[in-house]
Amino acid sequence: MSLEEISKAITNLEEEKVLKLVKEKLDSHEDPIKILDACRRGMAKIGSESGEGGTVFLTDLIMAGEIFKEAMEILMPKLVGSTTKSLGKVIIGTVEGDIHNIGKDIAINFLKAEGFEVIDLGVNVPAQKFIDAIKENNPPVVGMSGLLTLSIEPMKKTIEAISNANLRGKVKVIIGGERTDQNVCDYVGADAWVNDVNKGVKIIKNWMEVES
Amino acid sequence: MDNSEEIYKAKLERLETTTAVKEPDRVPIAINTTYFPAKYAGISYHEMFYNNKKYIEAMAKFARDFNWDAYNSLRSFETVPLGLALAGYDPDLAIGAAVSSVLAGGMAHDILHDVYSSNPGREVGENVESQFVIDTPVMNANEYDDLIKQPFEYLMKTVIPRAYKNLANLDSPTGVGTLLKMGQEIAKFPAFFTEFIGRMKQEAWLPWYLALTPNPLDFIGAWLRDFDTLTLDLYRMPDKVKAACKTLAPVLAAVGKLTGKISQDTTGSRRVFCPTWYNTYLSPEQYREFHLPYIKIIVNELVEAGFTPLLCFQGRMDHLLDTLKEFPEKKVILWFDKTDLSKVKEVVGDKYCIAGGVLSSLLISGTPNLIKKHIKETIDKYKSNGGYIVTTEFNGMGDAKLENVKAMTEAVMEYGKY
Repeated sequence: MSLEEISKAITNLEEEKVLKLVKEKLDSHEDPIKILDACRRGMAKIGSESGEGGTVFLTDLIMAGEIFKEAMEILMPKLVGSTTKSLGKVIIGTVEGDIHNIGKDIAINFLKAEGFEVIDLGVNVPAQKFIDAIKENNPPVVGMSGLLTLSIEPMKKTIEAISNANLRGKVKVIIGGERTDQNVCDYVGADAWVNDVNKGVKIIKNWMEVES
Repeated sequence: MDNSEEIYKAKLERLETTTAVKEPDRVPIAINTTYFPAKYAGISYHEMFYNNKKYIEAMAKFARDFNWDAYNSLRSFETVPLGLALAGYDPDLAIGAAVSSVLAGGMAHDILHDVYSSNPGREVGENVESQFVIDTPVMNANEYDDLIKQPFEYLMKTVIPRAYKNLANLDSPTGVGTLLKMGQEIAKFPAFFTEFIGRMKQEAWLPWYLALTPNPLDFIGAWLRDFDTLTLDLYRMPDKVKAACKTLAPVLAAVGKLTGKISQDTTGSRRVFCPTWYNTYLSPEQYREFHLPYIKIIVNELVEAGFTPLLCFQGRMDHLLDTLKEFPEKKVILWFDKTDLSKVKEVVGDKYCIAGGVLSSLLISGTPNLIKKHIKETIDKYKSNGGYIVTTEFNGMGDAKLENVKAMTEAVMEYGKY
């Protein structure tokens, strides 16, 4: 049984098989980092097949995220003490007024699977909390999520507040959600907009000069 | 409004003609918006939810000044499970309980302490829109069989105590007191409703919709499980999800017909709002397996009973366009928000009435000139010989600029004539 079988089982959304294989590999003393990398490759593959014209849909991405999380729960105790290289920090939160987490959580699962360190600020996040998190963590990228149209004005206000705190030059801002488009991106003053995770991961990798 | 009856009849006819894909005198404009009329009338979102007198006056002012062909400002949906749980006991009482949050504002939320709504001036700020997100699932994954076998009993005994914190113990003073308070409020509802309809008729108001019913998959996702857990159920226990949808479909069709009758009797509108949410997220195979068959059961029953299903495909339908032609021709309204309307038109041709074309984001970030240009182009593209209604997405235009909403309205009147 090769590690690629784990990647393939993730891409095929075979939950039980993935968990069984991860346990078997650990029992046979496989390097947990290599197992983690195999899980990540599976996530990257399924993520890359999503988005406009893709063959993978949002329900598939949610299921993949769940399988990855479950695999991580098995792997984490064995990874303690190991060092895995972080691709960089990303702060992400659903803006003030919107309490939906769907898009944000899909993005977090896939960014983590890629190897980014993600700081999740939660939902209904006030501008000040974004500012405090930027000051504390110094991330190159800030993600703002919103499912509803009501999130447009808070995105604008949050980006203005980041500018007023003299932090706008230090971060790239990407907005995501069903109501975002280029008009909204220009209006709120973000650097990019997305409503699919595949594109989002590519943009962030490009900003951080990580090879895809 | 002078000649309100005449104007009302013209609106009714315009929408009926358009729905049948025949040529009306003008392209209709019909929109659902709860928050823009509140802003326009100078009241807070909290007042829109909790002060029924101000709510009626805000709606009446908006209806008079904008005079759209149809419009509505419904509020929340948190009492739907309570109504459904009572459906086998007393259908009239069930409808009273179900619509008590939809039409009567935030009172049910305050009395019941439900796990669904975050209301303005309560869980969110005074001028933040209400949102409907289930805190934690009120149905567990291992309870599908109970829902399938005895839906009403399961809802009453298991879901209701979890969904409404104040009904957690029905043999406690809080539980009994909560039911009595709900009873008192539901008893006030007919008088409120009569006052509401009477006042709105003075302004030649026609509702975009007053009747509604959810479909089974979205009901399970929004009121019983939650978005994520139902998504996982689709992979882990697909047969149980489908069996639950099959059980719920006739019950929800009955809800549509009962509310449809109230709407038709009081306002003349035969439209029954049928929102769909999961369509955006599902693959075409999943949509055909879990969603569409049960939506069709409801739609077909409503059409047979003489109602017009107003199918509101929220999010995107771009990957599911080939399924649209499975609905009865010229008997439904297909309402889209982010779906590419030109591709919809290619698929449905002149067999279906479509609604859409204006994104709220444009009304928020655009300018009056830009809006007018957009409306002209959109109307020119879709009006053909009938079958097109100008609308925005579901309840999205709270932050729209007044000058842009005025420009949209003027443009429809100017460019929409046949």
